[in-house]
Amino acid sequence: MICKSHRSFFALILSLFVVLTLTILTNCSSSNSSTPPPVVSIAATSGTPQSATVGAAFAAPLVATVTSGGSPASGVTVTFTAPSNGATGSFAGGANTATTNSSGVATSAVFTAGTTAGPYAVTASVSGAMAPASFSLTNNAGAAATITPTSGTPQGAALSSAFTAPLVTTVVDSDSNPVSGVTVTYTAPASGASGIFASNGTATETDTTNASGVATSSAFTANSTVGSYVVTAAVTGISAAADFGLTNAVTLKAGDYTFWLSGSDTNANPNSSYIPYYVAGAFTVDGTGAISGEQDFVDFNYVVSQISFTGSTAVTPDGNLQITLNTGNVCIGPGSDYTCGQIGSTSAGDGQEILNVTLTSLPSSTTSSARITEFDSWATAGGQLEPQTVPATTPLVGYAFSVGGLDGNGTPLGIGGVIDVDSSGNISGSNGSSVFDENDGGTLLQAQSFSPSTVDATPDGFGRVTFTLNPNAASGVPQIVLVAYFVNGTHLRLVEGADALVGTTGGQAFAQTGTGTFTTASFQGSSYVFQAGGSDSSTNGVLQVAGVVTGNADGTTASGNVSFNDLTSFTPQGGVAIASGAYTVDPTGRVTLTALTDNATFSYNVQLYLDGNGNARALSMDSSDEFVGVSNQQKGSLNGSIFSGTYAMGVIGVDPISFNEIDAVGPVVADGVGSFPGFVDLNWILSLSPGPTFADAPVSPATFDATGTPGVFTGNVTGLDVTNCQVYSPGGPGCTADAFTYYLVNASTVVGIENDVNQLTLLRFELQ
Amino acid sequence: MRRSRLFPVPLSARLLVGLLFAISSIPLGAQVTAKSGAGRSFGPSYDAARETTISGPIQEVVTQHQAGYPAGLHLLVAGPQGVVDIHVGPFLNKETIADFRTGASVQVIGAALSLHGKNYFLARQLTAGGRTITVRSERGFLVHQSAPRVAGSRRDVKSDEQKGSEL
Repeated sequence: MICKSHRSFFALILSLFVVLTLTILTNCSSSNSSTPPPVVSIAATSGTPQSATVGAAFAAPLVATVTSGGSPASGVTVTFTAPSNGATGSFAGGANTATTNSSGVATSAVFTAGTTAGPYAVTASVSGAMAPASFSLTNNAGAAATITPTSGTPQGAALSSAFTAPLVTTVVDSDSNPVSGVTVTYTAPASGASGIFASNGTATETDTTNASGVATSSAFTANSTVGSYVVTAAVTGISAAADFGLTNAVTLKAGDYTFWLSGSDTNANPNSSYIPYYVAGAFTVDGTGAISGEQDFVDFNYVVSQISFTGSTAVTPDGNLQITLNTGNVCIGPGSDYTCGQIGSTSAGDGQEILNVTLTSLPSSTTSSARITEFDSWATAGGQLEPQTVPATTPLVGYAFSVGGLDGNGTPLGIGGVIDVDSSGNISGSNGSSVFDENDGGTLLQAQSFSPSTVDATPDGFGRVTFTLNPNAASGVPQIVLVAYFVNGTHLRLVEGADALVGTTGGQAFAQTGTGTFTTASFQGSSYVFQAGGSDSSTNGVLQVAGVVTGNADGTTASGNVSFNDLTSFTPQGGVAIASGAYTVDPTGRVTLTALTDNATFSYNVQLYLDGNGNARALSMDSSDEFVGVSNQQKGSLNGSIFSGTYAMGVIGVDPISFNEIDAVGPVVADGVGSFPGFVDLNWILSLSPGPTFADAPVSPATFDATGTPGVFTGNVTGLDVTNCQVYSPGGPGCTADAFTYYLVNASTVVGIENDVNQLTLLRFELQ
Repeated sequence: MRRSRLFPVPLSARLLVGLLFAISSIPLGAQVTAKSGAGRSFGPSYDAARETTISGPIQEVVTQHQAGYPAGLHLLVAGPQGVVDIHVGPFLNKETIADFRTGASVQVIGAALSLHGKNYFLARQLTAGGRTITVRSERGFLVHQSAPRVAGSRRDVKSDEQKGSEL
């Protein structure tokens, strides 16, 4: 048994033991922290910064020194790491490690720059070090190897005007790295169509590439010579220069003009195809290209009467002209719809019409004329621009006219005839020289008269008059209002106005010489080339026709050659000869051609309305087809060899898939031997194709048989076939050489029609 | 390049070849061939003198067009004498086309046409669901169907009414 005092003693001894033990342990611990391990560090001691040309070895190896506790650490493995992509390099043999020597120094294998230029860092790391060492390296671009045009091509500019964009090139090495500091020499042609640089007023300029390898010219200004040319950008040591395709173009000469378009807009409900519209108008362009004018517009859903507009002109990159008209009318342009004019309309068109233009006038001409096409996302159309001379008063003569389009029910409609404005300025019909025919979906009315009708005695400031025509009551045809813009005293462009007919029609009229005095001799022995579009009662509802018809010397029979295509059937290339037919001529100038046939594939009737000056309007008079068009008398040599020179080519077509309209315009150069390559600006906005609906595309090869039958020859055109050309139909088989027949009016005018299933296409060439 | 006197349009509608073959083998009550010689204008056309009426359910609404196949909408209708390819054309608006449904009954006034060895029935007037649609004029011209219009009038958007919401 232990007494209480003894228990206290043992407790004291135990406490002392514990304290002593803890003290010893604590002292031991304090002794360890006072001797820390040596600090390991690594530093780049050589080889940084440095640079090398892409693909070349850096001059110096990458050297890193490793210390431990401030002393060189030998035998330590150092790992060098370059970027995995972008600007980088590689070590010889793929060896990216090195072992430090007795001095703590690790030296890399030879390091070679990769193919991408630019700065980067290679790191050297070692186990235990807080941070890697870094080597700053730069891969420099190699020698300039390629120069390419970056922007500024193709471009067009008006004569003596600056091109919108500078000429920009990019110079790269063989690995596509931009090369800076390279001298680029821009050189424009020394003579002919060319231009000068703003920096020195000459046709040559040098510029230096920047860090991005880009050299930018000073402003380049066209000289006063029309034409397309190439400005080269060259670098010494590079064999291939960069080419910039530029065009100096004539813009519209200051003056007054009429314009007329027929086409299809997108105002159908909802997106029904092939809804026609017509526009006629006039404008004045001043010396700066500013435009102000007036126009009338009709489509199936509404009429827009006598609206004013402003506008501007520009040169397109391909050298065509472009006219932008701003009508401010919500029924016109992207955003408009068929509700225009209704209460609660949602139509919000931007009012803009964009017209691409290929001039038919010579550069030296004091006025301009052109084929035009609407080239915006709202409508596609083709037509003509002509210098305007407005007569002081409406000439008191007969007007041979025809208009075509749709009636109020959407059925194809054509009306043609002669409107005789008598000496009192009235269209009474009592003088017997007014007459009209109508083909309304195959329902024919012939040789109808007008009841008292009127026309404005004085054109307005833009040459606009209104014909208010009252067909005789027995005809059952309601009042027809035709708005006319005078091109000059003998030629008018027509568009239907607000009237009881509620048709959607447009056309032309020619003032007659010899009103009321036409005889058989007026047509006898002459040949008229005609070209028309319309519809037939076959499966597709589309029809194009072209040909030449001759009033034989016997005064009663007709002959000629005709081509047609409705995408159900078509005549062969070269057309089909008219084996028989008959004609009569009224005193009004109305020629009635009947039973024109090849005795095999076609038989048709047509009216021509002569103006006495070699022009006529055409209207078919068959129960199963309806077409309206223009006709011109053949004159002079009819050999294909006279198809020579620069022509504006107007194109109106219908594709064979969606059966929607195609319009195009562009210049072609016919050599008189058999070729006429060129290009077009083409609009196929109603396409169902996923491809681009606007395109600037080549038309080549384009051929004709210059030694063919005089007046009628054949050839092929490549580049207009929108459902095959890949530019219009991505994934398509490629452009086909479409078959055409050409009918020669004279050296200045040639028409063409496609003779195959690929597409409906009418061409009209007008010599510049 | 074809050089025959009058070229038929080649049928490249491979997807429809089998169907067309089947259809063409079925005689139509009003089957005619294209007219020839004098009196014909340009190619095969609608012959109003040969109009008949066909009634039956729509078996298929064919909207996919292939080159060479008559343009636009076709309805395959099961008539008393078999399936008939009703050609409706390209000028109907989408709202109207959407109204044609498989199984729905339709009555069609039109005329048959043989084209390149195939038989079609060109619709002039369709009646379906109590609605009558004019496809062609009495002379057989396809009618363009657009926005509804008030007969005998048309909106005249004068220049002084530009930009207004009520024109």
